[in-house]
Amino acid sequence: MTDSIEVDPPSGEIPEEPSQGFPWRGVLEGCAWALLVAAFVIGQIAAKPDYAGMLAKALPDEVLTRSENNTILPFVFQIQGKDDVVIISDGEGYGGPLVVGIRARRTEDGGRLAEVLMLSHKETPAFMERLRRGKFFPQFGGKDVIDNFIVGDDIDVVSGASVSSKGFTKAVRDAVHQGAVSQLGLEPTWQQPGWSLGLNEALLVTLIVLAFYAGYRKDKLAKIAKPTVMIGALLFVGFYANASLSLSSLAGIIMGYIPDLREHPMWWIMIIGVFGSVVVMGRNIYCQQLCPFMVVQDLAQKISGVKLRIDHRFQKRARTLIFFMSWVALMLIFLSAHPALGSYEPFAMMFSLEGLGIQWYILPASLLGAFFVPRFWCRLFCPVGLYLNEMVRLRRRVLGWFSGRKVGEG
Amino acid sequence: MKTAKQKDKPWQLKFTWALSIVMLTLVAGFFYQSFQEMRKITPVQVAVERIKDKAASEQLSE
Repeated sequence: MTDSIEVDPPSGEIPEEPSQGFPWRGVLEGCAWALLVAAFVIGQIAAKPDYAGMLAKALPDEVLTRSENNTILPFVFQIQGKDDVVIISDGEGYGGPLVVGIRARRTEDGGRLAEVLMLSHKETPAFMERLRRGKFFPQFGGKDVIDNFIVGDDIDVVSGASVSSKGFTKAVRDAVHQGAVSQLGLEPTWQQPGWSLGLNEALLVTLIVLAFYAGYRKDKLAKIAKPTVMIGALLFVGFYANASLSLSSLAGIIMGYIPDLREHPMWWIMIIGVFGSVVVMGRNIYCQQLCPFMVVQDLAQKISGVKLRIDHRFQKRARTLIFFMSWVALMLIFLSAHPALGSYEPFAMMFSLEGLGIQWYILPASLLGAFFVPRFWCRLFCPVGLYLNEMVRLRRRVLGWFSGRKVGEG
Repeated sequence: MKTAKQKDKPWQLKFTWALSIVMLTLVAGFFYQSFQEMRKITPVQVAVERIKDKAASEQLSE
């Protein structure tokens, strides 16, 4: 089990020597993996949505009849005794799917959106709060069914929650336009959403390219690129886009909660940039350059000027500790099929100042830690950093295995 | 770097231990909070947000 790879895991833990006795560690790891797989399967079965049940709860006074027998969303329901239709559709938020039901009604000149119900969501609470406070939802009230329902066109995005804004809008748009064509018999005169490529995406690509450059070169430009990327990461990735990677992002990918490429290219650019750097270059550019919370910690450190060390006994076990914490988090995520429930990181809250319950204490505690201990969170608690570094490590092993040389050589 | 190279004073190690333990307790608290939230989630969830057009709403309630 030992190897000589030096990757700098967040904890800096020294790999342990193999034990000669009963392989408790292996047994425990096997059980942990088996439980994770079981939690994933149970969660996926239990999370199968009961759309008719959701509607019955949301509209308790109405009798609803399914009017089409399609197996994929959108689903159309007729309201008995009324000329209204209710259509259910979904969109991808940052933390998971958002299920929306719309109620459309025929008018003299076409049709109107009479009501929008958010039937369920697995969104990170910070992003939902941002949508609520940003007066995002009232924009949909009274809209015509032939409106475009495109963020940036007739719907305003809420900055710092753009993935959620687009996911919600996409769900409403799919439902409304489905109803307009199939139930109200209207001609599709609305615009189709195009590629959402603009200044934001260009900025993110530039940051990733600069991060690569600063990581590889040591010339003058690299010296300028490094602080530029850090400032960009803090202001753009952090405060503007609130697009930090978290355990919920990684778990969301495993559960298939993947936003649409055309509407959320920033999410894809970030994921491809970060994972691409690991797979292609064997570098974790996210932790080294792009993580806005790392920049916040470094700033706290600069302000305090204090650099306390962590007890080596604690530091030595930090890697195991992060694995354990992320295991608990993943169990919660997989069982509930709700990524936000396991995301104990303070990132989303740091850059939106929205959070729930105990998250209000985790953020200041982690900042206080960073004030005294350099990169306190990264070294002792961050699952993203650990997993990205483990991927770098795995890549080296695989390459070493393919090239037939001893791992760690060269 | 200067401070990091100095020999650690006992209070410094105790302080970082305390910080780490506080943080661990908070993370454990977060898991407890999430577990409680998870128990609340049922296959049928209630609507959390309702956006109505006033005029349409009046017609609907007729």
